[in-house]
Amino acid sequence: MTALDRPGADEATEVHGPSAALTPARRSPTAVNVVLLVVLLALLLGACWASLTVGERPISLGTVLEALHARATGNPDHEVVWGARIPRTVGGLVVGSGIAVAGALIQAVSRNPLADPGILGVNAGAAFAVALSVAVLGASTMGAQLWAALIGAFAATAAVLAIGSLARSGIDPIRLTLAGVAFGAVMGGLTTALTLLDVDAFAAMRSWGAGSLSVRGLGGTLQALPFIAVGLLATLLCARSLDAVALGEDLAATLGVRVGRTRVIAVLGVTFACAAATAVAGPVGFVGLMVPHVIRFLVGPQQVWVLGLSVIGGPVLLLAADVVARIAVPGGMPVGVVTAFIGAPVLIALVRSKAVSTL
Amino acid sequence: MPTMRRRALLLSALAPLTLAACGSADGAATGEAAESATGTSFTYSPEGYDGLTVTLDKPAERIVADYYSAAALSAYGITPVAVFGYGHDGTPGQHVSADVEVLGQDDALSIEKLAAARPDVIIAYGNEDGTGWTWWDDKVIEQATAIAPFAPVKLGGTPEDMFARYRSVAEALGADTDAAEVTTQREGFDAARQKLRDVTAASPDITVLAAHFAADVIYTSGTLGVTAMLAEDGVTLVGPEAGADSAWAELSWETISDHPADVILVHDFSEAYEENPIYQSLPAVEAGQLGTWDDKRSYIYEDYTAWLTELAGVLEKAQDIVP
Repeated sequence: MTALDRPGADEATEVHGPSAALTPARRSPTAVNVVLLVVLLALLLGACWASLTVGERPISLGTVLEALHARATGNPDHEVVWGARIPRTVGGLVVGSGIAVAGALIQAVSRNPLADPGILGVNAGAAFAVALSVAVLGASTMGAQLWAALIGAFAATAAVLAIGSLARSGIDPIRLTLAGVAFGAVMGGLTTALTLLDVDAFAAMRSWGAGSLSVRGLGGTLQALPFIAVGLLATLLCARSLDAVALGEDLAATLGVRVGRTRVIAVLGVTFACAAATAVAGPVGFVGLMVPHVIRFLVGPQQVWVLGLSVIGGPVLLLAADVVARIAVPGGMPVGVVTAFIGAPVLIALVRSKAVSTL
Repeated sequence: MPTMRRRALLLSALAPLTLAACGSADGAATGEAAESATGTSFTYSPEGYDGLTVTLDKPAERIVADYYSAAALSAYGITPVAVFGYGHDGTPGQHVSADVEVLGQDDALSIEKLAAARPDVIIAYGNEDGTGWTWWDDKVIEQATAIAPFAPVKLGGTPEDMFARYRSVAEALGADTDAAEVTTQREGFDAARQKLRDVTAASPDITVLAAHFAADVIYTSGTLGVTAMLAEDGVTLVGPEAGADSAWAELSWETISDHPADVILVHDFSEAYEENPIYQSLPAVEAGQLGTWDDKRSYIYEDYTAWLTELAGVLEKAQDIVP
């Protein structure tokens, strides 16, 4: 059976064929997807509400709204809303969507359903740059660390791309993955060495390296926003082409898709979105792997839907995890510790209940 | 800079060599003592360690000390042959001459270098039993005390208690603890405390929060030695009660406004707080009524005098801004 048979294929071939997952399910996909979209939007609203109201200081939604439109200086509740809750919520929205979209893109471009955005060395490069900036330059402000992380992330991706695409023209997903893993291991080793040698770098990596939304004000998130926007734009540009690339390079080419160009755009999108998200919150694990994976379970492999719903699903998971993180222990714990605790059971349940989602 | 891993490696690799080195170092020290035993012998019964007495049958001339003890003893003109421990990058390090040999920094210690320094006695903050430095494990205690006896200084109590303990160490080492220079320094410290008492008596409504800020949590204390001294001198400290097992209480950025204070003392080791909008919104910060504190300053009269004088100035100018 070839993929071209599929539009007319009967049920039996669709279920048993090797590329069954490439085709949407029999029920009307759009209706299911729209329902999922509505559910996710409702969850996102709920997550934002929880993120704004839940914390050590109980603040009602009414007080939050009052703080939003008529901020009274000196009112402790208003100061907490503006000083902690809003930065965390906006941070969760921006970081969550950035990481989830980066994850969806890297899974599509590497044709690996378990790929993580960190596979391009973004996290490892950012972490090394932060440790280096603290140890060598004494960078202590959030802004300085943010830019160090961004530069490190881009440098790492450039290096991985250079290593991964030496042999052939264009980007080879397997080479790219191997190069990313190897580069990440080297950077991880260097970062560990730096943190052992420098007390300040150790302290910085202890807080930044765990992945946390306890951002100091809105400044960092707003600085990272344009980069995430570039990542989302890249997504818009290449979503449809990625569907064709998933059918195989040759077939995609016959469909008129420029495979190399699509991959470059997708990789740039991953880098921009993941680098900015990592710079703000540190390497938050699992969101980039799990959110697009779960969404692909539910909506099938159409990239437009996977990417679009990941933009909403990422913040839902991250904000929910952050709410749990801040009430779990007094003073809160890094959100990166909690994302896996919340996300893993969902992923395990899906793995056990349905056929594994493939690309 | 040595690290924990390197230290562990060093210790395990050198253990056999070191034990051999100890034997010869001991022998050499005894030989010298026999030749030049002119002063009185060293006897030290540290306060806080009941029943413990460290004695040498000769004066202790070659001293190895942790940075804190080296700094505190410098006021009495006592200079160790070598130092180790925490504080090289803080206030204690400023009072230790760069010529003094360093056996290791932070929790690192080269047993080989310690043996080579041929100490008569090791003076440092003691562990619970006074058998070794507060951060040494049993293995290091065994190796270090095989080289020279350990004379502990109990850490705890008010700065006044700590000054008295180091005075007794200096006495045991044969220093003139009533020399003019150190007496002047002691009087300066007493005068600074009197000034603080005068200021707090004049404005009893000024509330003070002594806080150690971090990114996600704020530590406060009213019962550490240094804050207990402030309370003794009439400073009205606010903040949550500490639990039974620690002198520190924890609170979060969300709840700090439940403990309003006219003046905030920012701990020297605070980090990642200045950009926090909640910090910036605190009344004391907005009014610029800020001072400093540090529970880990070395016990140098002049340092405390300078800090207390600065604090008295802050409190004198402070307005009563919170109810």
